Amino acid sequence: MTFDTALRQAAVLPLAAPLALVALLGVPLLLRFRPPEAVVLRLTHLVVMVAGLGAVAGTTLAVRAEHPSVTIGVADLLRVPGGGFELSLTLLYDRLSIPFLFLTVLLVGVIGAFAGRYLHREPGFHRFFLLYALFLLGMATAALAATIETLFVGWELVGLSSTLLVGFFQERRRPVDSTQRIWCVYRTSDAAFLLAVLVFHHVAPHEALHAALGDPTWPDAALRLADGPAILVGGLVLIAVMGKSALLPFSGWLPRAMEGPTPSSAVFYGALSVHLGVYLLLRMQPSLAGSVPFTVATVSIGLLTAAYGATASRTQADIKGALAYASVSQVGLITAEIGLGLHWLALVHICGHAVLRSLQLLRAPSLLHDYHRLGNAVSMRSRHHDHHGVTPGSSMSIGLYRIAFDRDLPGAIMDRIVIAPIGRGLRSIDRLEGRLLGGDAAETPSDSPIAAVPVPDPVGTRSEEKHDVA
Amino acid sequence: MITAVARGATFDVLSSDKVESIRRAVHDAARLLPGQGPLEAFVHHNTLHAIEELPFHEAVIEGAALFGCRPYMPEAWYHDHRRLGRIDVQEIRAALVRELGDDASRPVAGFGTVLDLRAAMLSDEIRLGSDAEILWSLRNEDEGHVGDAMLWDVCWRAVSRVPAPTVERRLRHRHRAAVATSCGVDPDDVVNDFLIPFLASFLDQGMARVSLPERDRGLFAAFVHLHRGRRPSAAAFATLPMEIERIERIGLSPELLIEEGLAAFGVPAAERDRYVADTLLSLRGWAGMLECAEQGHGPFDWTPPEGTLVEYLAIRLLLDRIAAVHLRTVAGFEGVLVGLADGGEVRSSSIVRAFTVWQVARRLGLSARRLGAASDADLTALVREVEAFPSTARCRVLHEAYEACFQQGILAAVGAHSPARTAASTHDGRRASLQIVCCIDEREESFRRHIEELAPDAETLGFAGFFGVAMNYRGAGEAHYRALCPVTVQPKHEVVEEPLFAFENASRLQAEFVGRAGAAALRMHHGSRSLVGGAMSGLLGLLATVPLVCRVLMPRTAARIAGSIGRVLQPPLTTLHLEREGDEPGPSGLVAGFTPDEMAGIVEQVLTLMGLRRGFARIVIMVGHGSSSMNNPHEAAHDCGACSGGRGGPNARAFAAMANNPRVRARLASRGLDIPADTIFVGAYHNTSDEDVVYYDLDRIPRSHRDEFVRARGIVDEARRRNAHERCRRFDSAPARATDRAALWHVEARAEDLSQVRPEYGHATNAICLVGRRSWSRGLFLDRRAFLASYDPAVDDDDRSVLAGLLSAVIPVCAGISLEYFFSFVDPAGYGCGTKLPHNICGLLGVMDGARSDLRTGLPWQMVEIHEPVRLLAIVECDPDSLTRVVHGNPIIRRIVAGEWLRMATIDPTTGRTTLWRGGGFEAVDPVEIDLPRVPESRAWYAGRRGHLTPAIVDPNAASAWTGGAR
Repeated sequence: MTFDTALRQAAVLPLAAPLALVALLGVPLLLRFRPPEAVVLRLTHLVVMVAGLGAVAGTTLAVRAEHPSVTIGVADLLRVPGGGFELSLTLLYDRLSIPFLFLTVLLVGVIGAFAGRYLHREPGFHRFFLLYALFLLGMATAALAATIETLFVGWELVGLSSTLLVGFFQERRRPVDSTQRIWCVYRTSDAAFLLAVLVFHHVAPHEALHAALGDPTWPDAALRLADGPAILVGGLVLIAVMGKSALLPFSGWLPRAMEGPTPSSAVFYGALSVHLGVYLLLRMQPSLAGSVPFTVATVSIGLLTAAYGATASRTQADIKGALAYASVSQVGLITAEIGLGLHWLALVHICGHAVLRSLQLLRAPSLLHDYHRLGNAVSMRSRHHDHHGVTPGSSMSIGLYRIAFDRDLPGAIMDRIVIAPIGRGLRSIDRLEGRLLGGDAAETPSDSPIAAVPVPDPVGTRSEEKHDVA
Repeated sequence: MITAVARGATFDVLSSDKVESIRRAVHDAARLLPGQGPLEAFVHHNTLHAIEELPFHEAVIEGAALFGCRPYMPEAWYHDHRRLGRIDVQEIRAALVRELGDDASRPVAGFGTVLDLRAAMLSDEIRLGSDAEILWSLRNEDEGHVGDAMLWDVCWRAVSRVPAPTVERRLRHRHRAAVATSCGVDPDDVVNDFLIPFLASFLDQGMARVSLPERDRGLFAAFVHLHRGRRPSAAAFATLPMEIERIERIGLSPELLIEEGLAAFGVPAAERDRYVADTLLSLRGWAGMLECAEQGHGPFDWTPPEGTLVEYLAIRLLLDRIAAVHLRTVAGFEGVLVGLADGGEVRSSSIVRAFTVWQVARRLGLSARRLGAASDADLTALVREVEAFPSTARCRVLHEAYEACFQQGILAAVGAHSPARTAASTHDGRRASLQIVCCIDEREESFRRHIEELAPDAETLGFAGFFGVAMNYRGAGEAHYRALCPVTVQPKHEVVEEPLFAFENASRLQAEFVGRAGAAALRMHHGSRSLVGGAMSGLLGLLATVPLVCRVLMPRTAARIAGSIGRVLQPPLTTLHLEREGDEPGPSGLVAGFTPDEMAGIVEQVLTLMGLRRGFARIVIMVGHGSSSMNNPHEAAHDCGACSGGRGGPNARAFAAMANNPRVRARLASRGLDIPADTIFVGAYHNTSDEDVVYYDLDRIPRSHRDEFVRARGIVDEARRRNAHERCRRFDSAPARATDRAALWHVEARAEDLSQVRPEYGHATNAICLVGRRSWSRGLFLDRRAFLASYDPAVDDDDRSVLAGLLSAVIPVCAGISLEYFFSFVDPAGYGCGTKLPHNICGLLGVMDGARSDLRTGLPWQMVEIHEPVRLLAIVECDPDSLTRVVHGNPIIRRIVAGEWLRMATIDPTTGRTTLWRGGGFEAVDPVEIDLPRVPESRAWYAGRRGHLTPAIVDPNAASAWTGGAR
């Protein structure tokens, strides 16, 4: 049994190694010491390799086990006597988490090698790799989570590191702006997630939650929620998924996220974090599948998003925007597949889509080169000497085009139907408070989203702030 | 249609004079916009081309004001270089003396002369900062210096008596400054965010599958169509549909809308042109691309109709107005629109001023007591004198000194090297074993040097890389023609590469296959972004793991495999359709091919300009150049500047074919240019990124020359390995001590690496242009910094017509390259396009920063980061008087030289004495005795050093100090 014990210990490595990397990269930065690039890269590669080995160990354990799955308790953090509540760090290797973990390690590893050269001599090199380590830690934690608390920690880490990577070029206005918006969407989704957990606690025994999340028999469900609770819990989970995976009406954040360095766009929000939401859905769906309204809602939101993303992608003139919308449409489709209970199809779709999209985003700066080459190739047959050999596609009605073209539309709708009423509500409470307490109510700020724009340098003549490279 | 009708009606409202004046204002402003077309073809040009008629130093100030950029490097940068020894203190003083002239000895109210005062101000950085910063540093750094505190009081009082000089007073900021100050929101950001996606879709060259509706009818019509009757999601433009409705109802023309917009902001008549220019410049990358597209400058698939820029201005002013009104109601900015146009004055704060005077006083050793005792008039004079020498002026002097130090070093090195050069010109000595003609490009300097080190009996020459063959060229398997000649030349001939007749059938099958595969790949490319296609490819997406992992982890191997597959599909042997067969024009509308007379003319002209009329070797290799790299939107910027950013291989091939043509030889012989029958020309192509060299038409090399060719190829192969090795010293990520072979592998991998943002450094560090015999520079290590054009005064006439012809091509091309790098380095985010990392290709035209930004023009930081910002030093082997005549004989050269956009120097063909152009004519340069280091080979000089290197003499007989390394 020593072999199994060793494997059990090794299976924790996908979490332990990135955690060590965060410490190794973060602590020197806190001490204002910047290790040489080569050292950072060596460490990063080593950590990814070790995490990969740990994943292999966990997989071996799972394969040798009865169900093809294995649960590993890492730490019991808190246990309320009487069985009311417990907080523990528990990992689950099963048929769902293993592919997702390998996908994560593969993509993050490749991007690590890529970014090492891409960000060479970049002033933010160390910051990038620190966020990279955080991201890997978050993804691995979320993928392997067997308890809701573990999943939430991973979910948060992914959100934090992704948004900070969007704002990587913090000296310009737009990245910071986008970061703020994405952060808000993520927080909304986090809140929905937490509420879902809370509701779950109320409608089902605590063990049920574990069963729903860490069910070793996935995709069979040991527990199916009754119709009523399933609508409530499912609805909240769905909101969380919609935010994290850029489903309608949150789709606006993904194209906005294309502000960071290309490799982080490619893997982080382009391929991995955007799939984290649907991963949660995939994990929970068997317990919720009993509810017809939940299924209908999931499928219709998925299909709507897919249609919207595909249409919007056709109108985008910039490559990263087009790819972002293409991702939106595929994630929508995956959501619909999950809603229909096509678990295996969805899993293959997630992995294939993530890899393909990463490659496409990484190659995005080659677009001119590629179009030139393809245009040449096509012309050899048709002798059609159009410059790029690319004829414009079909047309679109102006009404549809306006919806597809207007990138800010989902965001604006959210502003109008959610943010503005909340703002108004808060302000009236503020006024009420002012009246009751007799003091002057604070000057009410406007509810316009542009009012949140940071104050520019009034005498700066530049439309784009400088990226200080000196 | 409504608009069309409406437009007709509006001319009653706006007089044709007004319309004309608006169009003229737009036209005048358009020349200020960046002239960079689609990135697919990158032509280097002076970033400040629009104001090139001004002298350099005036233009950088004007440009800085116009575009909001830096005129020079920051003062601290120069002082860093002074401390590094790159700027000599004596040289700073000399530059000051030159600038001040007689004024230098004028006393400043008993505090010394102007020269002393300014020299003190240049002795170290004058620190500036915000008021809070200054006060903090005064309190903390100088605690305990009671005298300094008293000095501060005196300075403060002195400054407060003198009115602050106005830094600027212009309309530059339009309404922007007033609104931004008032409510904290920059109205330009609001408008730009809204406008950028629209402009991108309008100009899109084939990226989006669905193009902007109605764009063929023009920008204005498409805008109206898009926004008719629907509120856009951006809250600021909620009233736009109402405006559109009004425009359509009244039938407002773009011109009238402009008129309305200018009136709304209360722009005075005298300032209108200025305001129009500033409005266009507020999104200058996109506006410049609109202008380029409208004029058809560059490879565009789709061009907008005439009048696009006027329509853009109309839309822009409309949106400016709506945004300003919106901000007034929403974001709390107060005031009326009329009157916002005045940007107001900018003055420095009293604290900054006092701090400057305080620093100068300390440097001059003026005590508080001394200053306190001085009269008010004296103090005022001091303050005025200090403020008459502001930061920009200080940087100008420091910059002059920085350049002078560099130029003197080079002129002295060329002078000192001259005794070492072989007295006998090779033409009347023994016959060279091999002649290699490269482009004048400074990247070929090291390539040529290594060839000469390897084969002392070989000769290298330099000629602009299109080799006189100006053509519209289409390669086998290429979709379209492109001009391969300098931008200033309009090609009159077209040349097509065809598969050999014998292979025609095989080739057709291949073409069919490649075409099908290409079409499939294209479908896949688009399909993967669609719904169903995306699902299919998503499900099969795991297959993409293979290319993903291979491409990133082993770029070189992956590229080799992909390359060998590609080779099978390429047409086998090809030939150029070079000779004219009839008068009917070819597919691109130009004459197909050249007549023998035209060919003979080209060959004679090129050989004469190079000074190669005698002494031909048995093999002459013509080497064109270009560059290939992956994941690099700026790939074309590394290609040959003399081929308009194309690849010069076909030109070298065409020239060799012409020069080998017996009918051409016969015609040349009748004109006194005797090319020996046993001399053959071979065309070749040098890839400056992966150091590959391919040769053309090897099947035509006669048996008699094969052995010699094999030897020559061996030399070139060794030279490209060494060249790769020398280049690697500049790459931080290349191992410091690698073998030649490892270095070659390294550069090959760089060119194929998806993650490599610096496949090569391109023209970075270019600084010198030598026009003359190679003997002046042969054996001189110039660190890949010198354009080398061959010219022999002996074959020229008294009017220097050969030189004039040569310089008319060399000077504009080299100056364009040099100045583009200069400005992109001086202000990487303003004149350049910033860092490559967030770049996002838009509309197949250019790059944006991230999801939405102005179209970024200029060079990315990763291309210029090792550049040294000096103007090009052009050294011409000619006497000063003749060169002055040549300069004045060509308006373009005169503008560049007289404006000192480059520094022109002469080196006397017989004495080797040098002169330098200064303020209107050539001045003799005092010969400086320097002892150049001697090394047995280039490697001994550069090995282990990554930074700037001074010239050295490479002499095989020198004692070797170098021990390490491997071949």
